[in-house]
Amino acid sequence: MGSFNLQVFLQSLTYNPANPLMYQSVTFFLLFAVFYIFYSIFFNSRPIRNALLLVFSLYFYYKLSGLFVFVLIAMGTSDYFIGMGIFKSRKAHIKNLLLTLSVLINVGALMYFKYTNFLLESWTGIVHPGAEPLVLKIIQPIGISYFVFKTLTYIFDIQREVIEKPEKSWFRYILYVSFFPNILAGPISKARDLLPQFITKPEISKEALSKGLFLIMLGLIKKIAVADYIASNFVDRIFESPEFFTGFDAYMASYGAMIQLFFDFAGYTDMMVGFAFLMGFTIEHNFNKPFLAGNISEFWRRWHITLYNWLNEYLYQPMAFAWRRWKLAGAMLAVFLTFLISGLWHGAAITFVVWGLLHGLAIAWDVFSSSGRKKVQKWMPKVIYKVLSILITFHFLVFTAVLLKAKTFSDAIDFWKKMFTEIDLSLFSKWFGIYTTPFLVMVIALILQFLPNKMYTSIFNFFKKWHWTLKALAFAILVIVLYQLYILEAMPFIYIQF
Amino acid sequence: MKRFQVLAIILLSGGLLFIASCLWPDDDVQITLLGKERNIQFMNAEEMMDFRFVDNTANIDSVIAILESRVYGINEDIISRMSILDESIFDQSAFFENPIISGKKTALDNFFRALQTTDSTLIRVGHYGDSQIEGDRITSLLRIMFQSKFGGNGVGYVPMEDVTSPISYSRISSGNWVRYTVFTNKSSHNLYSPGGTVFRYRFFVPESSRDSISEEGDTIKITTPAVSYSNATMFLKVFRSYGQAKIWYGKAEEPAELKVYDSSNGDLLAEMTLDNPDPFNVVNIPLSRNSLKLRFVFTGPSPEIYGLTFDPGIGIQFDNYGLRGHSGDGLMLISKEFLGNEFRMINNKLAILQFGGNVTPYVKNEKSLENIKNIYDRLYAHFKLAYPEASVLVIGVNDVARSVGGTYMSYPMVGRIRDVQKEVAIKNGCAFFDLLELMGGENSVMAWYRKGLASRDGHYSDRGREIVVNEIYLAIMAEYNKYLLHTRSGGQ
Repeated sequence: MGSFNLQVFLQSLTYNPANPLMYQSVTFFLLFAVFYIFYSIFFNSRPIRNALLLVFSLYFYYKLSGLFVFVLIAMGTSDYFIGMGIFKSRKAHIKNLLLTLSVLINVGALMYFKYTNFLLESWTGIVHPGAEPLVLKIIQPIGISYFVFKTLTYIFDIQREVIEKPEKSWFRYILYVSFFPNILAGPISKARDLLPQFITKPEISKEALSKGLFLIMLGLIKKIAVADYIASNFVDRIFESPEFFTGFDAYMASYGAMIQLFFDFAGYTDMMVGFAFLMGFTIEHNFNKPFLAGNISEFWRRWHITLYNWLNEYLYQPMAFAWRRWKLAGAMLAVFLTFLISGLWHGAAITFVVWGLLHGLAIAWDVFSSSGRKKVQKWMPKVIYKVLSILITFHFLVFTAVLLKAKTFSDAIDFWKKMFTEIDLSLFSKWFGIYTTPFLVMVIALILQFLPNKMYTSIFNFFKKWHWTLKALAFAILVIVLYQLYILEAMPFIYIQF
Repeated sequence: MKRFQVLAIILLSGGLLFIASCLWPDDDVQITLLGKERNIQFMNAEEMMDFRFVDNTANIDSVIAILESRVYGINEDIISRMSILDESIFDQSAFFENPIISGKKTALDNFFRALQTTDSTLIRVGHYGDSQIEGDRITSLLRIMFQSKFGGNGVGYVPMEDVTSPISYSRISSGNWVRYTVFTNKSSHNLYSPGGTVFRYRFFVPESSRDSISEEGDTIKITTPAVSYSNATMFLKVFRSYGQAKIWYGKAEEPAELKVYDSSNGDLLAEMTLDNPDPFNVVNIPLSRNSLKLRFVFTGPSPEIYGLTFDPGIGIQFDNYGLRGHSGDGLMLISKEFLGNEFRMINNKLAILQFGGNVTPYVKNEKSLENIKNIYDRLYAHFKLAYPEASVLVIGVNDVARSVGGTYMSYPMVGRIRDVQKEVAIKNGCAFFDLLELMGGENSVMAWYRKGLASRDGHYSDRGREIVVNEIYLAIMAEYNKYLLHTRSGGQ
């Protein structure tokens, strides 16, 4: 039996930038177990329950980002007081001033940490083309894009009086900002949805328990069996050195990239929503079968839903309202700006900007072509129209996913060139012979997307009925099964042959 | 009270996993699944309780910094190819082993002796490898560096078709070329170029639509082939000037015709008949001028076409023989006699064998390592015995990473593969260059990846290959320096 070294264990609990705390690690499992022992014991005492949640959440963030935990606390604190100020102020211009201050602090921090180097590079590229841009050594606090958006919802809602009273407790507000299930990569919970849950007593029903465990298991499968597997055995390899691969490889890798992106993000979200359920909280899910979308507008109602809702409520709608006199042009401008910001929010690079603009363009196309599409829909059988719409939308997503995987915009252009000019479909059988498993994983993953919700509901209902010991056994077995993939040797470096 | 049930589930599942890790057999659980024996692995208790953080990326920044500085730190012009070099110019490479094979003769002596003849003859070096070298990426730099010292130009060997876009030339071949290799799509004639490939072209006789009777008795149309060819062509644009063009072919049982045109203006530059039935022929293409843009048109029954070469008249030439995805063992399909004869005819004085990346995922235990060792033992011996007048240099496997639970780290046996490659290389009288050690040892590839010098699966970027080639070149030249000093002082 292995010997437990306390000193090493304690050392592992300190921040190490090269070794952040991962949800799927033994350390996280142990820490969560210890946390949950106290959480369940002191569950009935709101202050202790919330204090435990706050300590665990802040510690979790510390393990991810080190001393940036103080940046998070500082930004949360400033919005806590600004929120109070907005509420207490009777004069509209003071409210607006405070709102502006909050936006400046939050967006300023985001700009500094995330976009300084991007702006410097862009500026140098425009003003001094060819010159080596100045690059500052700025480390970005993990999850800053998410907690900035979370805290801004609070300020916006106070200003709009959607939240009638500001949060009195500083501790609860910091808990809202740092709540560990959604600090890393969302879902972006709105203050009006999450904050009240820290006041009322959470309910851990049999349904919530089963849902929580089921979602954690589903998330692990999505992340390890699909996203990580196809990434390390196929997709990443092609995107890292496309020059070694054929156009057909690139073409298939672009499908793989979209599937990987979705399953990685959805797997993570499933786990986080699952953890929240286990603690008696409900946070909104981010995905609703996005590959079933028949157009890009619908896609954004199914993909990263909390971000879409945020952008829609706090960005698009105010802009569209302000420019309503310009009618369609105003709406389109609002769409473009929203998606430009959405692209930039995803990452500080030209690739993300172009990705956002292409999506904005696609939504504009949805609006402009809607009457024409309705005519087509009338004479075309419904099923065919739907299948065609889904296929076209999916291929647009696949095409643009290249921008999210390529290192630079010129790499993305080269990748597209390879996809469209060097493609030889006759290579499929040989490619399939080499990449049988990744291909089958991709196909099965896609098929699972298209299965009816009823099927998942019945599986869940079946799981819910299990005795808790059986659930624990199922979880343990799943961990051992996934471990086989976790340590799987990457596939050999055999490429398509003539 | 469901929260206690949640706690119970957490504790029970954790407990079950801990018990499993304590009881898990060291040689894993073997099961038969879909007719195959499979190992079900799980971490043992020691691993589960081990909270030490192991940085999988060796701290090799300083190593890389030194290597990078050396790329630009040597004044290559100091080296004069025929004069004795100052010993201080080159230190013996720490990554290179040039063993003494008999008396005072080292593994590379044959090659070094040939280097001294480059004023009057053309000698060749065949660079064999997998995707790491394909597209002439590494070979082209070696070619340029050696030719700058020993003379030469051209791009060396040009296959009629390949999966890559080489950096030294561009080529568009008609669709009726068939590529046979010692690796896949093997040739029934069992004759291959020194690089393990051979090409034949097919003709589809255009067939007009005709009627036929189906099984049901109806008249149906037989469609003509979508593409039909009356000849085989290849457009070639070489990016370096050359002194002479040659074709390597064999087994021309019936005469075939080759016409070479200047593809920029359509001028006919050469016309020749390929009619020698010998299995391997090296024939000069009598070009009226050495255009860089050429169109080759083959008509008549296809002989075995091994490829073209674009060379200097004298000096040194490097030929790139990249076989993507290959481990090298297929090259033993070329008989020693045939390979030796080919080397003799093309005056190949050094074979560089750079394989290993494609076997790393398969080598998981001592048994498979032993198997690989035997394969490389036979492969190196094969080349040595095929043409004893040439030298053989083995470039060992480079570091290759794989994903373990989302974290990339080296294949566990990559160091052992290097060890056995080195062992059998020296045993067979070959020189050995330790690429893994050059990179910084196991787990170094991630540092190379982060610095933009290589991808995680070990393929070098442009900057990475410059570093590697520079080190190989310096290592060989240091040995050459020693050889020159030794021969002047009355040695062999």
